[in-house]
Amino acid sequence: MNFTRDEIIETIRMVQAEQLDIRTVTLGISLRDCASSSISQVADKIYAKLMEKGSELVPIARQLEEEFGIPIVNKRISVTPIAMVAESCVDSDYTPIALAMDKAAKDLGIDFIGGFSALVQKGFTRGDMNLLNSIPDALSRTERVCSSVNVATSKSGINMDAVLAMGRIIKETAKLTAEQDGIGAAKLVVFANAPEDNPFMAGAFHGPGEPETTVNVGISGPGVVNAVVSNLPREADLGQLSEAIKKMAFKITRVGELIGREASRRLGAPFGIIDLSLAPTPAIGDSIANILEAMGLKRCGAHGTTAALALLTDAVKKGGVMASSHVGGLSGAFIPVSEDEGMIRAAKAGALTIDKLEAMTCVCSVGLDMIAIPGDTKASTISGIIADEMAIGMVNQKTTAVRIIPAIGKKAGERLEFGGLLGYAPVMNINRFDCSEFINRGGRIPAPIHSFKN
Amino acid sequence: MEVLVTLESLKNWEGQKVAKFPPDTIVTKEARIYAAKHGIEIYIGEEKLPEPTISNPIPAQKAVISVVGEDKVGIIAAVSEVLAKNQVNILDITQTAIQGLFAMIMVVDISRASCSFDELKSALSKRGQELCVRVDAQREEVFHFMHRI
Repeated sequence: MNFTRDEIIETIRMVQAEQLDIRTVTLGISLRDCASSSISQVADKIYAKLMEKGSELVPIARQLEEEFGIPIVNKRISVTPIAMVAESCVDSDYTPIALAMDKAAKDLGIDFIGGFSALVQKGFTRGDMNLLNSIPDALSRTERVCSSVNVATSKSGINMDAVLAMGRIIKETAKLTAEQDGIGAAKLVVFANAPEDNPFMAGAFHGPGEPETTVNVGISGPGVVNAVVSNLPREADLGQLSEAIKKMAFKITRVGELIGREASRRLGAPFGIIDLSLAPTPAIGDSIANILEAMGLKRCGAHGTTAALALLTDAVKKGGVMASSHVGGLSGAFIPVSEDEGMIRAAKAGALTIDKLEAMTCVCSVGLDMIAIPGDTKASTISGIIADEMAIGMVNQKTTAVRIIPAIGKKAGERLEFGGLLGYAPVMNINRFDCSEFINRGGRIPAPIHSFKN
Repeated sequence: MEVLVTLESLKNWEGQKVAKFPPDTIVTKEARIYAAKHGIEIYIGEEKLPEPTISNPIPAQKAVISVVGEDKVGIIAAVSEVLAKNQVNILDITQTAIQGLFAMIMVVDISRASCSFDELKSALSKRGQELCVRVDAQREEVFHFMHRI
């Protein structure tokens, strides 16, 4: 055997004690051949294609879990943005398609299906408009369908009409699912520079440049990185810290690479990318905030948090890039408040505010994620939050996103319960001054000067 | 003439053993993965196209079995009995502690096993439950990928 005892023990410890797992194996499926003029025909075609292409995903993922002893937490499917697939339909309500996707997801036993999406960074087509209008209904009547809308890119600027519309759509979606604590809004994300091969929800879709099918893998492992950082001596300097995280990120990513290659071979679909994101869960110890705190911050959100997060994100990328043949997706550290036990604690203690979170998104993916805001927040204020985040993404040529949940009927300090991987979220305070005059101007914010690279 | 053979054109060959294309045809990686999965051999002219590179040309010969729990009499005996019954040879045994718990690690040769890996795994974990310890088996590739470049 070519492995030392310590190496074997390290791997076993990572899985059994430190929650190392594969967050998701996501099968991308193109639906571009499902168009028709009748919405019911499109829905039928989509259902049939998903059932055909996706039938092996769950059994094969289970096989891989058994053989390699690495848990695969979620099995997911991403599809071509539905706005493109449904564009030629005469009907304008796309909810039947969402229902068909939901049914396929349940029948296949997959956890989430992403792609009820539109790309509108420069303007709307008929299909885009219809899709946006269908989002609140579609998300309130389905369980596993996720929706995303790309409203900005570094090349084309920000479509502020779409930003304005998304403020209202998010609020409406939360209202329609108010009885389940607004869970509809937790399945809806607004993007700048959305990647076409993202395996993570709610933002996964199968981009127009992707092949017929593809396997994308999302890794996890904050618990493992946390253990490494915690075990370093206190006097280790930040260079040594970065070095230790890099090595661990390499090992975590290798596991993803192995699972990805095997899944690709067994599914007969090419291996797309590994997403190098550290994805937290609400489980104790599986937290990004805990890593930052282990670096020496009293609470996540203290001054120094952005710098610590920048170091973490960069080290994870450097370690991960060498471990994988193709990286992509969002690749960075996730900071979803409700899904991270340490973030929840920091928000409750008042250490972590929405402004600090916004600053943190400048150095990591993916943006303001799973944040509950007071239910009486105006739609235009939500649009203002989105516009700020989109500007960060556009100017810094990175992916940013907003997934916020208006807590209908609740005020700052109360909490929303989603359960499962989505966790629970304390309702956070937001800036109460009005921005509606600016937001209501509409139009497009031009692309920044440094986007002209030709 | 087809210059580029994609997944779509290869689907017409499903159910057949051999797909032949004229010289200079380009076959996409996606189509080759599909062909490998469906047992179709691709010929470009007279030349056979090799299967797309896969991670494990030879299935694993070895596996790592770990037992974690409270130390007690008979753990090694119980695990070895299951292994012996299924023609699995033990190559190495070591023991240590993981976070205060007893941990035994075995490297075994599964190339001549009389049962599938799945069956072996469930037999081991059943035996483990009787002894109130967690028994896990993993194919060696995980360790290879993680610790070797």
